[in-house]
Amino acid sequence: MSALLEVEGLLLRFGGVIAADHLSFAVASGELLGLIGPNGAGKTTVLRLIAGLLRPEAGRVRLGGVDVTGQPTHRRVRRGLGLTHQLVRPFHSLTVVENVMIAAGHRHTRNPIAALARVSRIAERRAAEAILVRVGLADSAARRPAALPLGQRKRLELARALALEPTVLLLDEPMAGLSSAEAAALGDTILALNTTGTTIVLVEHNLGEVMRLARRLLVLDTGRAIADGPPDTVMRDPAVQLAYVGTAAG
Amino acid sequence: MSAYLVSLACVIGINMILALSLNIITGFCGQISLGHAAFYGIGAYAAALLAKAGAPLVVCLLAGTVVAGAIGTVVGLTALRVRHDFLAITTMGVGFIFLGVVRKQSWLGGELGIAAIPDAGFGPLGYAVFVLAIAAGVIALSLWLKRSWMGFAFDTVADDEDAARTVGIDVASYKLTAFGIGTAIAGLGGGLYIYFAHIILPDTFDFAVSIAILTTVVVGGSGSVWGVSAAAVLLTLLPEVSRVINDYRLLVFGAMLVLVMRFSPGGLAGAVAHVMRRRGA
Ligand SMILES: Nc1ncnc2c1ncn2[C@@H]1O[C@H](COP(=O)(O)OP(=O)(O)O)[C@@H](O)[C@H]1O
Ligand SMILES: [Mg+2]
Repeated sequence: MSALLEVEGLLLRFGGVIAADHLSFAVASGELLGLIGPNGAGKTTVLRLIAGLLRPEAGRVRLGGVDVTGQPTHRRVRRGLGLTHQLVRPFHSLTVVENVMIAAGHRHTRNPIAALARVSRIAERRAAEAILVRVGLADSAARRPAALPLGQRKRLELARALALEPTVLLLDEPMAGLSSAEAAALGDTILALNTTGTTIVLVEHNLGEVMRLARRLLVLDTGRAIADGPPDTVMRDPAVQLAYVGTAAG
Repeated sequence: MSAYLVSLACVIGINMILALSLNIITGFCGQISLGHAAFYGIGAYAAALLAKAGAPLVVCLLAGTVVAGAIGTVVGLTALRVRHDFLAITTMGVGFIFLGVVRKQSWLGGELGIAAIPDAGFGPLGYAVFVLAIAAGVIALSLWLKRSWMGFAFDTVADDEDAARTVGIDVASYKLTAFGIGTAIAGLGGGLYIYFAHIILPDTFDFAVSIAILTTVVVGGSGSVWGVSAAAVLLTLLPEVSRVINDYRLLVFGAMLVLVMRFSPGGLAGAVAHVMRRRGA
């Protein structure tokens, strides 16, 4: 079976900093991959490269076997990619439920002219409300994103990505700023998604949750993959321990 | 009705069409334009040339709409490359290029413009009703657009382009669509103007007019169809009741633009909503 998501030789430098250093890995359909590494390792950069929000200097990105390296973000999204931003980016002019509705109606926004022909938002409102219930935001549906605490804005970010019904979901530190109970609840939601068939790449600093959820870990350091495998094996790897201790000390 | 009131009704209708057309680009899609009068002018010149050649009214109006919309879409391509303040400068430049070209082309009448444009044949009152009916049509289209999924997607483009892309929105084609529709409707306004004035001069479409259109949108409340329509009526009447305002139009409108943006960014619509909320509370 071929990989659902594949990156090959990704290279991106910011001035003197190498954020992705000839990075290659593949994610099989149905996997839940934990992507970890110290701060500045290049995790966000990799996700943004996969989503097309950054362009690599070299390397390729394949989604479902199709080379999407030259494609803009919205095309990749329409091929089944979903993404949450590490720094949340809700639409501030919309309410919470509308933020999710616009994603739930992704079929109606493919073409501007076709979008002009349609006004009903009833079905999308229902779908969005169901997703808000799932992430525990039902009570905030009518509020503005700016009025939400960070933990809730993080969940809105996830809700919006879910509404796209992605086959591959990239999550960039969805648990940052959540209490441990909230993080565990979100972890359960992520696990349930994976169980129902969504392939997930999870970037997360909450190692306890990552160990609980992921069956495979990929460790990045200075833009390179330094370890890849089952969580227990990876965490015992001396190179991984050095990378973490190195940042803790420095 | 007096001839004066009939002609005033015509001007109100045309100004409303112009303001609502810019409202689609700026209010709905969040793209500033300081050169909107150019598309008003392109529509007027295209319609006037055809009218002088004997083409019927419908053909002239359609031509003005299509030519302005086509050139507007091309200008919209530049909007894909630049953002915010650069877009303001670029569109302002488009306005000056339009004037520069029109002033120098003898087939467009140069400084003397195009005169002796034939009549629509409806009589002054009939034509005013016709213009107002089209303005009502543009209001209806705006309201529909705002409620549609196109309007919904415009909200996200105006708000955060990168976030819009991550929910699958093709930001570039939505921006081009906004420019195409907005400039086409401005061109329609230009076509309507020629049968009212029977003469067009380059100055009719100068920078002051672009600023007046933008001021109308901002004063009404960028994005609010009713607010912008109301502002078009008010700001058309203002220079009529005061000679001073008429003489210093660019200054007065520019000052209004700055003051509203500074003190009441929601414009008339925002102020009304604020009052309603306080009443309700
Ligand atoms: N837009 C940018 N401009 C300059 N440097 C950047 C930019 N984005 C990331 N970097 C640098 O690239 C490296 C990787 O960053 P990032 O991918 O955000 O790491 P992580 O998500 O693993 O913490 C860091 O050294 C960071 O400072
Ligand atoms: Mg990061």
